[in-house]
Amino acid sequence: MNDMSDDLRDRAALYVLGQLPPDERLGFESAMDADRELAAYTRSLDEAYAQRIRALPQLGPPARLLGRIESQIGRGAAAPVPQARPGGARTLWWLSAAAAAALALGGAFYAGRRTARPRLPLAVLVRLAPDSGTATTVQLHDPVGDDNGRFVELAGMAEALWQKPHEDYALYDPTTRQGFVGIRRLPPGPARTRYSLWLLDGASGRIRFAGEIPGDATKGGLFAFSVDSGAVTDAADVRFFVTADGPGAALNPDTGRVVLGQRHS
Amino acid sequence: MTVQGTRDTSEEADLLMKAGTGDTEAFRRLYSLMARPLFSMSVRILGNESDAEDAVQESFVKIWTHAGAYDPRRSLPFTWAATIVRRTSIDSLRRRGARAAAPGADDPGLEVAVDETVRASAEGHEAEEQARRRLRLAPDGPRRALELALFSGLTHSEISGKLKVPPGTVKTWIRRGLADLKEALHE
Repeated sequence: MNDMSDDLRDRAALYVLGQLPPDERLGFESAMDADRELAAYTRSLDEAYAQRIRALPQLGPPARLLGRIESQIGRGAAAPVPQARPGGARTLWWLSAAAAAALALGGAFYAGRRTARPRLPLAVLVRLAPDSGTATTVQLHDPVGDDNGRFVELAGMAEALWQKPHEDYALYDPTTRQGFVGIRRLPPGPARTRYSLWLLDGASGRIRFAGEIPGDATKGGLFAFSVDSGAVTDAADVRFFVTADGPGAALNPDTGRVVLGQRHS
Repeated sequence: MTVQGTRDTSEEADLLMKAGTGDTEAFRRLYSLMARPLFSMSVRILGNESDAEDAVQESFVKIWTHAGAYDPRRSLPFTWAATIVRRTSIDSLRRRGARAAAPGADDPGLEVAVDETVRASAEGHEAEEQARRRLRLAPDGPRRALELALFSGLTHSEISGKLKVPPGTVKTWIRRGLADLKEALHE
C-alpha cells in the first residue's frame, strides 16, 4: 500500500463513487486488473461506501412501490439487456437486424423517461469511411415525446440502413445520447484485440467513449450504444471512429489504432 | 470488528446476476434486501419521500434492465445498485432545479433530524449506529466533501467553490472521507 500514489488513491475513491469520466474509468479498471493491491484498496473503499449508505436513517419505501416497479417491468418496459463485459469495459449491445426490428416494432426502452435537455428534432447520420466522415442530419419525429419513443424510432432507421449493403455508419441522437452503429467488418488484429467506438465533438474537439464492441467484432454487426455525458456542441459536426487496442492495453482514443472512421474532423 | 461480515454480499450478487437473466423472483428478493437503504438514500438526496419513490422506481427498472451488465470484479452488488439510485436521484434533483432545497452536508439541522430518525428506527444495527457516530467524528473537511459528493449532486468544482478549497483538495478529501470511514468500520 505504501507504493500507491495519492493520485491513484484519489482516483480509487472517485471510481467507487462512479465519478470518473468513462475513459479514465476504463484505464483505472485496467490498472486494477494488473494490481491486486489497488483492487483490494478500491474494494475496501467500496465497502465503506456501502456502509455509509446503510448507515443512513432508515426509511421504508411505500408498500405499493414494488407493485409499481413490477407493473412497469411487466408491461415490457425494460427487458434485461444482454451486456457481456469482457475486461470489465462497457460493451455495446449487439443487435441482429431482427432484434432491432423487434425493438422498433414493439420495443420499449427507458420507458416513459424524458430527457431534461432540449429535444432536438433530429438525429445525426455519420458514414464511417476512410475518406469521408461527413455528418448529415435526419429528421426525428419523436411522436411520443420521450426517450423510449426516440430510441424505437432510431432503431427503425438503423435497421433500414442496415439493409443497404457495403456501408458502415453511426446513427446518433444528440438529445438522448443514444445511437446505433452498423459495422460490416473490421480488420482482424492479434488475438483478444479490443475494439472501441468513440464520439468526436468536432466543434469542441472533445472525444467521448461510446462503448466497446463485443464478441468477434471483425465480423461486424448492428450495435446500440450510449454516450455517458456531455452534450455535443454542434450536432452537425459529430464524428465517430473505431480504435483497436491490444489485450491489456488501456483504451485510449489518442493512441488506439483507428480502424474505421476518422479521429480528426 | 468487521461490519462487512454482517452482510451476505454473495447472495446479493447471485440475485443480481439471476435478475440479469430475467428471473423475476430473484429480482423481487433483491428488492426486499436493498429497497430500504436505497430509498433512504434517495430521500436524503431529494429531501422528500414522494420524489424518492419515483426515483427509486425508475432506478429499479434500470437495475432490472442492466443487471446483466453487473461485474462482481468491479463493485459490490449493493454499491452498483446504489450508484444507479444516486445518479437517478441527482438527475431528478437537477430536473426540478431545486438543488438548494435538498439538505446539504453542511446543514446544521440535518444531523439533528438524523438523530431523531435514528432513534425512531427500530431496525438500526449497532454497527451502523457506530458508523454514524464515527462519521461525525471524522475531520470536518473530508466528511463534508464526502457527504456533498454523495448526496448533493454538486460537481467537484462546485464542491470546491462551496468549501473554498482547490479541486485537487476536494478529491483528496473525498478519498480521506471514505478511508476514515473504512478505518472506523474496521476498528
